[in-house]
Amino acid sequence: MHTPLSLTSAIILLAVENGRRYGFEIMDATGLPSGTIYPALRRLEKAKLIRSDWDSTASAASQGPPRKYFRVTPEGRGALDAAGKRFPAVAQLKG
Amino acid sequence: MRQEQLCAIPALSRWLIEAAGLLVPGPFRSEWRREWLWEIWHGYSTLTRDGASAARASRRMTGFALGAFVDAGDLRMEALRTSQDTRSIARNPFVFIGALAIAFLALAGWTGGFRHCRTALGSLYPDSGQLVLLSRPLGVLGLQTPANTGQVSTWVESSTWFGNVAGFVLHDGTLEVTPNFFSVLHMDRSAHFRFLGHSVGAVKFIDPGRSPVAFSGAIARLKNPADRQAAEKHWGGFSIYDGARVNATFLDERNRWPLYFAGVSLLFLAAGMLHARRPPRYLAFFTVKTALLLGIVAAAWAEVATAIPIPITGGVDLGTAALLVGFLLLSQVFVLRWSLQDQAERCPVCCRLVSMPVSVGSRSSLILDRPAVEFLCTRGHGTLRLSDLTACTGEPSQWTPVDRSWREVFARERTA
Repeated sequence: MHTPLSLTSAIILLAVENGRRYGFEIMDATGLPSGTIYPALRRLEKAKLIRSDWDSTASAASQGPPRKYFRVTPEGRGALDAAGKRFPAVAQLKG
Repeated sequence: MRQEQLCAIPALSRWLIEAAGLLVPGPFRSEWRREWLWEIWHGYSTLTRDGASAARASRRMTGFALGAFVDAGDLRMEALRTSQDTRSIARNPFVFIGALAIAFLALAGWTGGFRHCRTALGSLYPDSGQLVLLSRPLGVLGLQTPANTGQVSTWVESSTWFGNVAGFVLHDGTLEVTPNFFSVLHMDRSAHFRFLGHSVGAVKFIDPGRSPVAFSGAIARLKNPADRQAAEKHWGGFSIYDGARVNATFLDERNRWPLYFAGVSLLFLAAGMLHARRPPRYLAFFTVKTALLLGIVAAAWAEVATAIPIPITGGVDLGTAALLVGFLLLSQVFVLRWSLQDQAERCPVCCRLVSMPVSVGSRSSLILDRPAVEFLCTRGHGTLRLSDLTACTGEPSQWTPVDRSWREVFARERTA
C-alpha cells in the first residue's frame, strides 16, 4: 500500500503515462519548474511507480549523448487510478 | 562525455550544473551530472532546431539548470535522513580512533611533515651551538634601543669568550651587516638565505669604521661552546640565546608548562579512572583518544609557533608568545573537557557511545526520585544514568550492568 500521491506527483506521473518520457518534455507539458520535476521523479522511482533507463537509440538518431527516460510501471498505473479518484482534475486530464 | 557534446551545452548552464553537483552525495554525483548535462544538451538542441535563437534557448536552459540546485539539495537531505547507519558506525570506538589518526596524518601531510618543527629542531647554521645573539635590553616603555657601532666593538673587545662578533640590521628586506657576518655564521651566502626566520632580499656590507650604524643586534660565536653559561652570567644585562634554537624560542623552558599541565592532567585522570575500577579497555581508549587529540592540537600549535620568525633583535616577542601560550592552554583545556565529556557517555564495557536517552525522575522530587537522563548501550551491556543535578547534588554518573539475557533485545538494534 503506497502513500497517496500529491496532486503535483499525480500530474507528473500522468505526463509520463501520456508519453512525455524525458525531464525537459515533462517540464514543458506540466509547466512545473525543473526543481519540482526531478525530486518528484526520484520519489516516484523510489516508490517503484516509474522506472528510468538510458535511451541510447534516440541519442544515436540525434547524434547526441544518451538521455534518461522514464516510464510508468503497473504499480504506477494503479496509483494513477487512485489519484484520479482523489483529484477530479487528474481524472479529467486522463480522459 | 565527448568534448564536442560538452561544447554544445551553454556555458552558464554547464557551470550551474557543476556548482550544484557539489551538493550531491559523492556516490551519486557522476550519474547525476550526466543526467542533467545531457538533458540540457537535448533540450538546447530541440529548442534551436525548432527555430529558437541561441540566446533564447540558452536563457531557457539556464532556468532549467537552476532547478538542479533544488534537486541536488533534495538528494543531500535524503542522504542525511538515511545516515542512521553512519551514526551507528561513528559510535564505534575503533572508528573514532581511526578518524583521529587520519586527522593527525592529514595534518602532517598538510604541513609537509611538520616542516617548521623539523627545521627548528635541527641546526639552522653550521656549529650553531656556538652561536649567540646579543641585543640590548628593553628600555623605557619596552622600546628596543639599537646598538650603535661602538657597542658592537665593545662587545668584541671586552669579551674573553667571543671569537668573532658581527652586527646586523634589517631594513625592508635588506640585511645590512658587518663584513665578517658570514664568517661568524660559518657559511657562504646562499640564494635563499633566511636570517632568524626572516626573508632576506639583499645583503649589504657596511664598514662601521667609516659610517656609524645603529645595529639591531649582533651575532657572536663563542670560542668554546662550554663557555655559554659563563657568558650568560657575565652579560646578564643582555639577551643571549642559543643559536641552535633561535627559531624555536616559544618552546623554551619557561613556555613548556602548558605541555606539563596536559601531561599531569592526563595522569590524574587516568589514576582517577583506575580508582573508579574502570575496565582496562575503557582506560586505554580514553588515554589513546586524549593523547591523540592533545597531540593534534600540540603539533598544529608548534607548527604555527615555529613558523613565526623571532624578532630581529633576538629574544621573545612577549605579546605573540603570551597569545600563543594562552591559546595552547585554552585549547588543551577544551580538548580535555571534551574528551572527559565524551568518555562519560560511553559504555564502560565496549566503549561505544550510549544512546536512546530517556528522561527519568521528577523535578519536584529531589530526594527520592531525582531527575536524570538514562541511556542504553546498544550492545545490551547496561544502562547509564546521568544526573540532571550534578552541580548541586554532586551525584555521579551511575552505570548499571544488565544480565547477558538482555543482549538478545539489542541483537537487531542497528540504527539507534
